[in-house]
Amino acid sequence: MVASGSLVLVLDRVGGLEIVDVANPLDPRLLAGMNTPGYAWEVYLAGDHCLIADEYFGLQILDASSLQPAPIAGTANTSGQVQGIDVVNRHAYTAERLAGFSVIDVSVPSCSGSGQCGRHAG
Amino acid sequence: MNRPSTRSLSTPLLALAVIAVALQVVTADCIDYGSLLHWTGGIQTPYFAWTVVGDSDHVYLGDPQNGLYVVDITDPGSPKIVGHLPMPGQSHDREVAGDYLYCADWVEGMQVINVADPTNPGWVGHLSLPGSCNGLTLRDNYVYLANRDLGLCVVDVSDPSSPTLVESEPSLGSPWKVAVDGTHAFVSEHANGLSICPPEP
Repeated sequence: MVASGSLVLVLDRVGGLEIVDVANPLDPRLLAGMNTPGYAWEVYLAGDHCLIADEYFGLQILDASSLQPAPIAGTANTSGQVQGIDVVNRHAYTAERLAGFSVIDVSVPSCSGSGQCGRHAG
Repeated sequence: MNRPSTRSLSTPLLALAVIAVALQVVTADCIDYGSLLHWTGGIQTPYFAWTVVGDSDHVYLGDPQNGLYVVDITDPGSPKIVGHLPMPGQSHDREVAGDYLYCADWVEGMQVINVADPTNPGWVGHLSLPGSCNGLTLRDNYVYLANRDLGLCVVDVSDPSSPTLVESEPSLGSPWKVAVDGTHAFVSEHANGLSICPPEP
């Protein structure tokens, strides 16, 4: 889960990514839901894009800029079942059942500089 | 004296530049992320990894059976396990800040681990809690824990060797993950959606 400005990104394991407007904390509102093919375990926000650890379906990238349901923008297959993700510099590191972990170059334009460029989900 | 004409040269160059800029704009608007993702490297751990958090040179893998693995990512294409620490619990969410790693260790509460020497991580503090801890996030000197029995727990870690529970919010049903910004804590719950709480301890 990621809190960013007035938005919170919540993962629904079966339903995928949900974007909640929390500008009024007493009245949170669901803005958009974007499903993923697998079970969404963890999300990392990098600019306008969400990198999702999607068990059975690797790493999924969603464009969340429009706050509208959007097709998957990119997928990286992994050998194991991804359950965790973090990003350091230009690489995503995925924790995987049955396989250890993978390093995936995610040099998307919003993430091409040095240092951390997004927010890690709890 | 006839000066060399630069106009006749610059016009096609300008045209090319305009086309190049236009192509860049189109490219920027139509990024195919599928073509940008590249598997760079990996490493097999003895059992499996289900959590990961990184800093500039290392990532810390949580293995529910074998504990913590410290992996050197100085060369992302050739990661290497450089340190290991068995954990009593199942090593769920974790955050790293400075020399310390904070880990929600399922039924074993919260662990604080010194990772100043990545080749020799060691315990420095522990907080026993009832129930199980899964979600964890760190903000300043406080760790926010999602605990199945106690709800949202706020733990003072200003002294990493002696983490102290300062507040809990048990009215939450069954917390799973937690995120914090400057004004509120956000807690996702099993089958109960999202709760928003004042975060200040």
